[in-house]
Amino acid sequence: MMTLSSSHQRPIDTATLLNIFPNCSIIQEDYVPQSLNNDLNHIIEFINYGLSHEIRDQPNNRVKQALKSLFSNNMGGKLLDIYIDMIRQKVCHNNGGDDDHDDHDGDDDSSSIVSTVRTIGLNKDKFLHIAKQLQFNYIQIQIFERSCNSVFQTIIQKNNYLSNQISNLFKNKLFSKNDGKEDLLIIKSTLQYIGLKQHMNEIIINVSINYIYNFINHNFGSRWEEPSMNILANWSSSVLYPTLTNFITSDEFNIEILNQLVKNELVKLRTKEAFDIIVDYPDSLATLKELKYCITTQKQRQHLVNTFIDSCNKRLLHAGANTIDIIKCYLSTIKSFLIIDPRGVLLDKVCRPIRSYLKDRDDTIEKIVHGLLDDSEDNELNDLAQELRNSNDYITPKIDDLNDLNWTPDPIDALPDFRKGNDLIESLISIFDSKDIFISEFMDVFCSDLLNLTDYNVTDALLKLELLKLRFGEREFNSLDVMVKDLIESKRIDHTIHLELDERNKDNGIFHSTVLSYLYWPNGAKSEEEFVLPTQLNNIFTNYCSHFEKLKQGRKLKLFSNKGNVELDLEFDDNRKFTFNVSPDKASIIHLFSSKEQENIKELSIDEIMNELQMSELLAKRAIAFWIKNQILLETKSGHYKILNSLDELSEKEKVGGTINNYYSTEVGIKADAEEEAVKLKYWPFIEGMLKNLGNMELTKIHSFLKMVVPKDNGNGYNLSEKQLKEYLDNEVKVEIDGNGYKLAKR
Amino acid sequence: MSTTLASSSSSASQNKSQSNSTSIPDGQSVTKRLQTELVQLMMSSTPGISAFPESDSNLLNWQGTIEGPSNTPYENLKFKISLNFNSNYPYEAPLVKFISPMWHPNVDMSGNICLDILKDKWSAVYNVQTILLSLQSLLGEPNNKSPLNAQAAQLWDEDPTEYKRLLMLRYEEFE
Repeated sequence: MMTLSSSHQRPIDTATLLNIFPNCSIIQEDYVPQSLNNDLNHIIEFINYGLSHEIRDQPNNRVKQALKSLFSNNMGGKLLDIYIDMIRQKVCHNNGGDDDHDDHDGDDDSSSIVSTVRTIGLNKDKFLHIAKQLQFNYIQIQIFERSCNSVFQTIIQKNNYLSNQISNLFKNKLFSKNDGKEDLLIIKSTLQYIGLKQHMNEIIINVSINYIYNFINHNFGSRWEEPSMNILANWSSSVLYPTLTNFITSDEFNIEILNQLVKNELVKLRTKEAFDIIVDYPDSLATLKELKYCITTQKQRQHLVNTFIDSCNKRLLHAGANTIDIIKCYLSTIKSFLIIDPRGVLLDKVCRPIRSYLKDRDDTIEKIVHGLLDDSEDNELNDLAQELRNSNDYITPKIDDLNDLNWTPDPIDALPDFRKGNDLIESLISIFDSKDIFISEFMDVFCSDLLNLTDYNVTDALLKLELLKLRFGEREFNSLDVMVKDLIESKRIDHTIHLELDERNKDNGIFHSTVLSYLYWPNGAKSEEEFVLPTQLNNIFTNYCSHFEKLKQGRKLKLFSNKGNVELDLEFDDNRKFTFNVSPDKASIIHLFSSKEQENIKELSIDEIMNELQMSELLAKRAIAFWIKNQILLETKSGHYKILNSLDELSEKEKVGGTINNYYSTEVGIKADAEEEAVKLKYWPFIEGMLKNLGNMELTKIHSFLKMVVPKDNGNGYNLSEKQLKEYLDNEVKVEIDGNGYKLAKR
Repeated sequence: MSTTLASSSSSASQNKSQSNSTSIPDGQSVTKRLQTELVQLMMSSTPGISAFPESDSNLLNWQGTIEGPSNTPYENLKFKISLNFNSNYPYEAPLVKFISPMWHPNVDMSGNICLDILKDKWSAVYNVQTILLSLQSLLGEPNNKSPLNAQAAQLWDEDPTEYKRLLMLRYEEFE
């Protein structure tokens, strides 16, 4: 009789099967006896009536009888299936109709949602009620409820409109101070009723997270001066937690979890603001400390690092940013990230892009060195100077010492070439592979500082030198030692000479010298452009020299006429008085004008000036431009100048600013010239060297020699083309054309 | 500038002493060192001394120029020298010779020089510049105790005029 049999197996009879699967409804329609079919129809009719009417009648006797006979025939499972099918059809049918009118029901959103949800709840009540009337046993009721729930769940979750509306409703009302929470409670309990507890919690948590973030952003966004966690913790326990406990029904939900959520959102906000927080250091100290204990997971750390690097690339590491700002930001980054993560792992990661960028900048070293050495108030990198002064507690980093009992391995999440840089200066210096570039920069700075001294007072320089030695190591500073020592020596020599000098000639008293050990000073100490000092000054110098040679047998002084300072007092016919502190070239030009005036020559041309002082055009023009700007000299016609004895001689236009403009235009031209000159000056020693030692040389040979020997450091090696070189050599007075090649001109 | 490096070694050997080299640095580092020295020398532009590689393909052979120090018979005279570095430089001294004909107690007729720092007193801290400076000061302060040119050594003290005359006989000006 059974169809559920395969040809290879013994047929199973229905009774056995039903014994094994009591709820199974495999019995085929055809085999339902007529009487049972009738019973079934009665029951279905009863169900239909119940579903479409609100009245909940007790089943009448006929139905009761039918149920009895169905169950006695083990047809309960079949009936359950039929009932579930009917409900599915009814619910889906109703719901399909609902979709249309939902859209234009916008005004009364909340109440329509609430009523929709409420209907779902009532329907479930009704279905369950009928199921109980049908006398299903406990297990069958459970099966029914589960199927029933799944039908409703599908409706809510598949219907985007409805589920969005629910989230929106919670978003609007969950934390609002107005009433309306009853609606939310109804929705919440109904959804829970149809088994969507998890879903409900998710909605509420998402809404809460959003709300927390907005709250934090609104109250603490861009405010980094004070810690916010205390206030937030207070807020979460007094406001958030009481609200949420009404809605979230889970054993796992407690105040700690809520606080963790709040912390996470705070971290999210601070991560987004990371760059600004660090720029704001040290004002943002409180926030940084807070961040340290709020960040707990590896993911948050990674996110912070990535976000910060992104903002750095976008906002800092580009051509538009000032080098000083980048260095400042780098320093803040070091300090800030060491607060967030004292192990230095995060710091190591975030500073890599900044370091590699700084390495490529041409003026990084210059800025660092000036920052270290300049302790005046207007030093923008004053931090560095301070740091250098605090070097006393600086400990030279040790190489891994096998006997060191306090040794600790690198943190587990550190990159392979992890380096812990908590010393500001050390981490700046280590950007560059070699210390040599720093040393030569230090020499340049010391050179100009020492040469600008007028009182031989090297105390400050000595102090700085000692501090630098602490950082860079003793032996790097031999030249600097000599330089400082030269100054001390010069003071002694100068003093002795002045004792011996004939004090009756008061001119002798105005000249002081700094005697340099030529080989130990950087090129900045050697003046490129020499000229002849005015006779008066030259006599004083010669006198000084003869005394020096008596004092230091076998040594000679060579004057760098363009290095030094001259204090000038100028007085004019219209009672103007000025005091200038200028370089000797400028002073010499004024001296020339003033002595020519005594010979009644009022006007001098640029050529005359160059001739008298043996000065280069560049130097002369620069000095004249300076005097014109200060309204000491006046240009009468192009290339001719005279002393401006009275301001009345200025025409109105010039008073207003003609001279200034003139000055600037000359200045710009001079600057361009000067740059070109400076470049060529770099090559000249090499050209001179090869021509002197190797004699006559052809252009191509000079060119290829220069390519090889001119140092390529700082990105400005030899970069002339052969044609440019030819042009330069042809114009260079110190070189002569000789056959096919060039040789040094005879002096 | 102190220059008291001129005192000849006791053995007046003219052959380059073949000391057993202990370490052999690679050619790269010699070139690099010489290049640095060249830049240093060019940039410091010390008056009276100068040197430059002979060719741009080989940095091991240089030519140099020394101007005679003032207040010596060599004043206003210029002399050419050659410097040949081997691959052990700076652990071994370069071979330095006068190319210009020279008349000097410590220089022989083929230009070989007897100077302690170029022989047994050589040290790796010396460089082209110090060699040139030492040679320059050797011109003014010969070591007459171990001369290569006995006549010159004798005349140096006894007859400066004759010394100068013989020097000028040998001297050849160059461009």
